[in-house]
Amino acid sequence: MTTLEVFDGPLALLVELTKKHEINILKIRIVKIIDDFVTYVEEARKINLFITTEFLSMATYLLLLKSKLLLPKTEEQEKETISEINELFDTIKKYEMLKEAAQEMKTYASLQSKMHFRNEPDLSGKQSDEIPFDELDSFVLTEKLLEIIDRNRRREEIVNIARDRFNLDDKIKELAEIFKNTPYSEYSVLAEGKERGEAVTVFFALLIMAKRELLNLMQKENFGPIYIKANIDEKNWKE
Amino acid sequence: MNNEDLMGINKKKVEAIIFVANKPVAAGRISKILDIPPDAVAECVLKLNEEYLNSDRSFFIEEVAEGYIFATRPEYDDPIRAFYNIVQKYSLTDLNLEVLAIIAYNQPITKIEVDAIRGNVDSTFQVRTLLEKGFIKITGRKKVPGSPFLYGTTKQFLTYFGLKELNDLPKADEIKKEFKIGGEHEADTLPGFE
Repeated sequence: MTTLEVFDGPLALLVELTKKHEINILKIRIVKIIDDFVTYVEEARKINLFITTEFLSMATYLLLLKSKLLLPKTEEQEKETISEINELFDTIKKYEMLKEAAQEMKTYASLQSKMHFRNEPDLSGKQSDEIPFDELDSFVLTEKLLEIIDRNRRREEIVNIARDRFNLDDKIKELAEIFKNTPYSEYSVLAEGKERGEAVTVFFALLIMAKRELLNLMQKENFGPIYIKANIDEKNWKE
Repeated sequence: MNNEDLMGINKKKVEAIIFVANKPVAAGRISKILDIPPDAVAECVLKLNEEYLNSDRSFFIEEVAEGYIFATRPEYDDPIRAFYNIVQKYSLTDLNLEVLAIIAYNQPITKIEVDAIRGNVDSTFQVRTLLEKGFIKITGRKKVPGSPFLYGTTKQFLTYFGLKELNDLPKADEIKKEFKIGGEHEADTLPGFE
């Protein structure tokens, strides 16, 4: 066995194997199927074919089932094992039916895709933003709400980036340069002609510099002009 | 006016309405507008389609999930694709289709149940793709620990496969019988969204 067919999953392989071993005697049939399944997995691993964990877990289960079959057991255990095998065949059969139905649906879709409507509706599988009114329910609403929250969150992030245009550290350096030449100033003068964001940055820069005792701030009354006196004697201007 | 004349006039009215509509028209709507029973609408459509077939037209009236709509015959696929610049032929992979079929026949169904039918193969990726493409939607939550989502198919699904209703799915009865489908799920809405 050098060429191995690739199967979507363990059940797809089992469907093939049940077709191959059409023996009436249940026990012989299942043992043959299990042996073939395990051989397939071993062969596939030898040639480095990608084998998913699902195949391995199915192989493990099948080997357990086989050991149950071969070991001596009580009548009740025998019954249990038989019903387990029947259940397995049932699962395989159901899967096979759905798999066949899926193939038939494919022909339906390909026929439908050849018939065109006026004003070609979107059949490409892409969802349109418009939701038909009768398809609205709480889940659609929840989904839309989460979308909006998510979108707003992203918008906020963009605002944060924009604010960074006026870097606080840069502003402090800039102000320090100004104060070297003119130690006395007023906030309204420094902020004059600046846009809102920059004026705020200047204000913060002044507060931080005052905290570091690089300058003194004075205000006579609430909302009154803010006077600034720089401490030029201070040694750490370079900061 | 005898019955046959009346039928002929109604037939033309039905044709006119479906002709101008750019999306499917529900039979009920036509029946209300023309003040004739829905059965009569269906009969008119049947007659019209016979005429189109006999006179070898390139179109017919198709019945989709939402109602009646004019559609071109599959033989004229190529020129229309060229006209609309449609390249894509078929967009669902076999794996997506497999999961879609499982959901279609067993809805409402949870993802874990889909996985189980596939032999405990994980279907997260396929379910997400199908949701994104609008073939399935969340229809509720199952009343079991963890309240997992229940999935079902959309109208777009029916239109895509040219189905009028879910019973038109291939081998619908046979599969339903095999899976003993029917009313075992209890869907529930999300708390606080009633």
